[in-house]
Amino acid sequence: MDILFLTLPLALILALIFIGIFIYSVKLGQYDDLDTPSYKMLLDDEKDKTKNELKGKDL
Amino acid sequence: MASQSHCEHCHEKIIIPVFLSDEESDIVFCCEGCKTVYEILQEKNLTDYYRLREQTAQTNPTAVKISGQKYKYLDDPEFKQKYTIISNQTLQITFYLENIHCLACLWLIEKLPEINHEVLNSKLNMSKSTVDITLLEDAKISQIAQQLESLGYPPHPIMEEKELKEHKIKEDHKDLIRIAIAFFSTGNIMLMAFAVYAGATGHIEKYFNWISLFLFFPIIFYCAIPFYRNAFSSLKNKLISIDLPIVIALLFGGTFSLFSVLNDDTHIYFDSLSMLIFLLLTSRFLLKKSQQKGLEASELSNFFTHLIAYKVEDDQTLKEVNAKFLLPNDIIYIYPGDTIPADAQVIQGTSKVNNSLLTGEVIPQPIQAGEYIFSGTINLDQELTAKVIHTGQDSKLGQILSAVEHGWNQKTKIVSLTDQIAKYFVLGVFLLSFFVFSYFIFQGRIEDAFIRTLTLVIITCPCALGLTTPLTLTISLAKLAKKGIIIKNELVLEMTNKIKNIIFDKTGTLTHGKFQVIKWESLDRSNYFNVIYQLESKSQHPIAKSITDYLKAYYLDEIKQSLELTHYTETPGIGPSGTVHNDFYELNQIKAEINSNTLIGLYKNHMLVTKIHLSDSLKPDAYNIIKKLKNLNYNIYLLSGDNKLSVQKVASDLEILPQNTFYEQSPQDKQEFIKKTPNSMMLGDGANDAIALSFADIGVAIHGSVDISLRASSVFMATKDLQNILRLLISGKETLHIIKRNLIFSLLYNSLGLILAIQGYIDPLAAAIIMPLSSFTVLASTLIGTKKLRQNLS
Amino acid sequence: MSESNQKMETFSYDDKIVKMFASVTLLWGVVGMLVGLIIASQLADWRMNFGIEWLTFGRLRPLHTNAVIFAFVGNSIFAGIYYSLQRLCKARLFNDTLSKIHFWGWQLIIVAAAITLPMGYTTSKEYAELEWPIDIAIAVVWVIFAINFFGTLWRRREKHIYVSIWFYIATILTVALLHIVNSLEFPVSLMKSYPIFAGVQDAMVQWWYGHNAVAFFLTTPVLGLMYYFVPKAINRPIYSYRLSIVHFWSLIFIYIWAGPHHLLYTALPDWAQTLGMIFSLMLWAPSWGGMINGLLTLRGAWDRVRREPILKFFVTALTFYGMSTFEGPLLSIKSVSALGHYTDWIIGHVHSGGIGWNYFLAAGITYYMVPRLWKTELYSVKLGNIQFWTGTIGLGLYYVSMVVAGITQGLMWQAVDANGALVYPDFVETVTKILPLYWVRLVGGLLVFASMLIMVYNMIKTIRGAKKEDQVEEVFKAPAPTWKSSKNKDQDQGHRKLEGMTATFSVLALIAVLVGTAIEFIPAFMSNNFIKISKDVKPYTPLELAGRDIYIREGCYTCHSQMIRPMANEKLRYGKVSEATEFIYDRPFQWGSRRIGPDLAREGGKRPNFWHYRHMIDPREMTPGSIMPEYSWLTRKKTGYAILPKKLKVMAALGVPYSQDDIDNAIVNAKKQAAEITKEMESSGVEMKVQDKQIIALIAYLQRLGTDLGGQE
Repeated sequence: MDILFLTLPLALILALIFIGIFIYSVKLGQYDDLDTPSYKMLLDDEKDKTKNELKGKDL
Repeated sequence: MASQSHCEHCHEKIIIPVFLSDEESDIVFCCEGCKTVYEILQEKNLTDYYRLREQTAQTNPTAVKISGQKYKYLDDPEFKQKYTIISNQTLQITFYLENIHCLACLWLIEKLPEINHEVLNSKLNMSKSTVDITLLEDAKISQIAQQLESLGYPPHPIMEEKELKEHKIKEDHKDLIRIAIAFFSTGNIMLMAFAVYAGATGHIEKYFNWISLFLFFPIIFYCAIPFYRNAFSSLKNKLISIDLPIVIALLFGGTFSLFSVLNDDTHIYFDSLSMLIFLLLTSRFLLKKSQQKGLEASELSNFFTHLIAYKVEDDQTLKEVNAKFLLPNDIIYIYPGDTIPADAQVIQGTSKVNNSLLTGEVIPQPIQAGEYIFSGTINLDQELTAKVIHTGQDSKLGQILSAVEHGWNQKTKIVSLTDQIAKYFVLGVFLLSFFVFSYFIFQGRIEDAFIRTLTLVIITCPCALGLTTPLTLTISLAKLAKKGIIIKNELVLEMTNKIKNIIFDKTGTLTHGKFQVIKWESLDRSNYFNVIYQLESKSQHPIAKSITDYLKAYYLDEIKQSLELTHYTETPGIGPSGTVHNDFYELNQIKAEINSNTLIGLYKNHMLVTKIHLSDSLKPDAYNIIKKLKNLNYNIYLLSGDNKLSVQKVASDLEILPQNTFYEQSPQDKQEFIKKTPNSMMLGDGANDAIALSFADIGVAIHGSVDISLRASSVFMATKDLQNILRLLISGKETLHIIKRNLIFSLLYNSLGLILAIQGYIDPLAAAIIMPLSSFTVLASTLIGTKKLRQNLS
Repeated sequence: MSESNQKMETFSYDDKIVKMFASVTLLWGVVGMLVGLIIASQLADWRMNFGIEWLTFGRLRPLHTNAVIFAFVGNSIFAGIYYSLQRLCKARLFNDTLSKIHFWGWQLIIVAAAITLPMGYTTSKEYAELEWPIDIAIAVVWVIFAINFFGTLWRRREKHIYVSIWFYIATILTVALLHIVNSLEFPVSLMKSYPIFAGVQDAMVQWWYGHNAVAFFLTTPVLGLMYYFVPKAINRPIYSYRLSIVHFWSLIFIYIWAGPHHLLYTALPDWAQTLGMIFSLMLWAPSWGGMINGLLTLRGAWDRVRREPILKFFVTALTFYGMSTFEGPLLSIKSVSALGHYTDWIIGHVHSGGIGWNYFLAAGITYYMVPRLWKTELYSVKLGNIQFWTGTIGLGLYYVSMVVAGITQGLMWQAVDANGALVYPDFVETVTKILPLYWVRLVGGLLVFASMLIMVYNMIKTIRGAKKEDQVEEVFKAPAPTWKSSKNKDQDQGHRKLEGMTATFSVLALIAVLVGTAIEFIPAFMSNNFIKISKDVKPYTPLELAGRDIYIREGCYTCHSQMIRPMANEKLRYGKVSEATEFIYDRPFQWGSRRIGPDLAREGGKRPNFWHYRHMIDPREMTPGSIMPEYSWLTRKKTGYAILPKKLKVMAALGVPYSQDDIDNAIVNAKKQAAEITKEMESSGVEMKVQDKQIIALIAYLQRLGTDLGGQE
């Protein structure tokens, strides 16, 4: 089972990369508010009326 | 125009239709507030709000028309400096918003920058329903606050210093990172350890052990830092904290395993130690989070109230100033509807003052020049200028308040009890492990010495002990908070078990405290509903309000016809008057002797035509509450400042023993009575109950209480439901019962674990698994325990 | 209306690339399922390959798996990711040309696969059968996709990274690592290479990749899509957003241990098998976390599920996801795997996940995206519901028939009567017994294929209904990102700095160690000095090696396994249990994962050469009732002698003990051995001119199988 000498370190390195990403995301404050995002994603984007009219598209 | 029955904005039933000012559309509103909001949304083309709201089938409350005065204190520089974050010409403030519950609210709040151009950015947090608003530095915060309230979301500024808030967030981040790294190490070490148990031998086993060693580094160097800090700081001031055994087990086990890895031994305990640290970190984090939720509720209940006064400068201009900075014999100017900022003597103007705060008297008291007015009372109908006599602490209100504030935050007896047990327990374990270690060393069984002591230290970590009491208390507090019973701290919950007698205040507690029309006697067979409605709807008098509500409820269509009323005046002390079709109408209070309810008479050209009987009716569930409390053999008292007749009537209705009913009690009499009766719980709402509430073992401020009784009491009932009294008492008993049960269990568990460890029946890994199991069983028993509580609460 | 002084930026979405990916998904969906239908029909009736070389099951099965996984699901997740990423980040894709390169590169890879696989160019590693040039192309296109993805993420205008995006990040990073490790192969010629690992190691790497390809290509991105499209479809937030974040992170840190549950009761060491079992059982919790979170999002909207096809697809997809992720851990329990492994039950499990979860969710997001992309109305809701019901019934038939077939066959193999003899000694009996179920599966497959066609038709009509002038990119506006510009660096006081240092110190030390071990041990594999080399296991002779490559080219591993499991009935049926040492020179390992045909691990010497010769030309002559295709072209094609020295050189470079003179006269030895074999068969009427044909090399390889450790015993 000596393949583990290769796959295990690689797997752990990958996991460590994910820990780095996790720390960065925690510091960025991604998990401070875990309720609003689930509502926020439901809101459609706001159309920019002026630019769209220029493209001859009635909004 | 078809009279659309519902208001466009808040779907309320329409009484007096308010039409869109400009064009003849059939859109109609129930009040000015809704109209303004609709117009704002129209103007900023944010009408998708209504489409979004339809989707989530929610409605929001009627937007209320607010006077310019409210939230003035937000612009006060001292407030800005302390509670807002100012960075590169922008200013950031956080508000708690009421009525946040749906997608439409989120959409509207985040569109604030378009409604008010001074707002740069607004970010809503729906779990806490707080909004972080960034403004231009010189923007007027009070204007934003008023706008929020007009949109139907009354804001309350969050009074948390910026450093404290940032610190709290940073602390959470650190904990999360520690838990993540601990999970990573534990997960992988556990899997490798499992491979070794399942039989991996030879070079692969050596490899796994080495990798486990390296994975153990983050645990011992980083994740365990909180434990080192606690243990070290408690050692510094010669205390033994329950983190000490954990640190010992960690260092002891770590070095022992390190040596076993170095010389290919099989005693590797990285898995048990990392599991120990991971589970402890997670349970501590969850405990902190659940307590934080509890804290938030209390943090919000004492909204910062801040009085603004208008000082008359020598050149007769008005200067806005904080009530705290008023000095004796300053001249102050009081607008109608404002709270009186300090004890003062009126020098000019006559008005009516509602001083229910001090005397509990609902009927407004007329005031002329020369008479005294007290801080905390509310000036009703006309402006007054007065000279300040006392301010702050030495004002009448101040004295009451200072009498109230006495230490609330000693530790509850139970919590201090468990800390005691934990301390001695840890000391005992310490000595025992030292003894066991040396015993086996003398025996020459070095290996056993290490293993047994390690197991001993791990298994006897008193987490169950340390965890139970705070957890049970927090969960009970949270459950009660959900039901609208907000308790200041755990001490109260513990005290409920010692309560023998319950003292009720009458007005506002057992009765609605609001006058209700019980009989409408028209003497000349024609009723004057419309006239009375027009007269009463303009006055702020509480009795006027109950009459207009009654008319709105039963005689809607009569009062809807327009009626032209001329030269309306409201004479203080008597009542409103005016002429319709050149008949002079006047409303006045008739002094009644025979029975207790108050009488209002309508005089047409000074001739009595209608008599309206009002009385303060009992709350519906008052009777069965009293009955239930009686058969739980509490003795019930009734204490009220009201007159003899009405108090006795209420006592007989509720079958309270005559010798337990006391009437015309001044705040001081109430205070004496409470002092005389120990183990008592007082329920009240008026300011006159404030002192009594504070002296009672448990002071309960009923919903709608005046602000100072709120601060004076230890329990605040956020809902009108009297059942909550029952719930409070039952939950107190329940919590104590659960804590006792958990204590016995954890002591039992620890002593059993002790014996097994010394005999060597269990190895460190089994210990590392059993120990968290004990914590989880304690957690489970607390949750299940409170489940029964939840049943009888709902 | 003066402009509010909130800094706003305008942008528009690149929906053209999403349209391209979405439409090509439909195309490859049809192709993938069609190939599936063909090979299913070949199992039901062997004549269905019409004797054409590149239509035989062995070559089309890898095409089906690659087409459905990488072409159909691949393109649909790219479409879904590009659609949702832009809307979640409120930003256009990082770079339009990169997206185009990604699109055309991926379609090129698919076409290359569609050509090379039927021609027999395969590495025989399941779900990674493509030869080394295409592997490199995949790696390049994947890197381009990663750049495009992370570029968009960096330029996002919405600070919060929604949970779906976390799932996409996990997919990109993990699939990259898995693909690279599993494609470590040494090229011999343009279309032939040998993996650097052999035997047990190759098996472990392959199935470490195999499981994680399913996990990180078919589950993680699709879960991400579910977390975006389900709330959007019913306009209701996710049931518990907190749970979705927790179950994501709890999965990622320890995920990479999966794999061994494909190798239970094989030559893998026992502890590795137990570890695999335990880990797979642990996987059950996070998967069901995802399912419950998705289903509970629909509470309160269940009446709409009755009317709208999109919601029907999502609900069924989530339910099948729950079922297959429950069946997976169940099947990875050793005793259950003893029954289920190599049987059709596994195929049932694969398709309940593949069709149930992947196809239905892809259909759901297509129904959601197409009308919005082309700014038109869905052509027919009724057709959508019809497609749903046909697909569900088809899948029902497929799943039930396969599980029944699998368990029947598993039990028949194990059946041992009172005095210890096999109840069904000859293998073909167990195959003919379940043939009717292959027909039921074929009907199920047909229905699923029909439902796919209905969707294609429905979508084409919807797209055709779109008005030309609407196809203009709309412009949106969103507040400019504030968190990046005001990155106020707060300096940690001394104490926190120290704390931060220890964390980074311990993590860096760990990385250094891990990289060290990895680099130090790779060369060790080359020389195999770790594996216990038994003296009687010798490398293959040149002719046997040529025969082995033919075995790989024809995809014999798709029906035959080469692994005798340590169970009483297998010892009785096939001979001595296979040991790890026998496979140290097997590059790539041929343990296989299905037993439509009998196990060949100990085939060497069991039957005379002439039996194999006749059997390859007409299998029914030797075993009546067999469903094995005829390989008559093996008697016509010449064995490639010229390349043999090069093959031996590469094998030697990878650690196989070929001496220099073995390599030099490889061709001479091969020809000599071929002549001997044909000579031996001459007496039973085989002409000598056949000696340089591929059939002889194949017979040489078959006769060598399992003979190193004393064959039958």
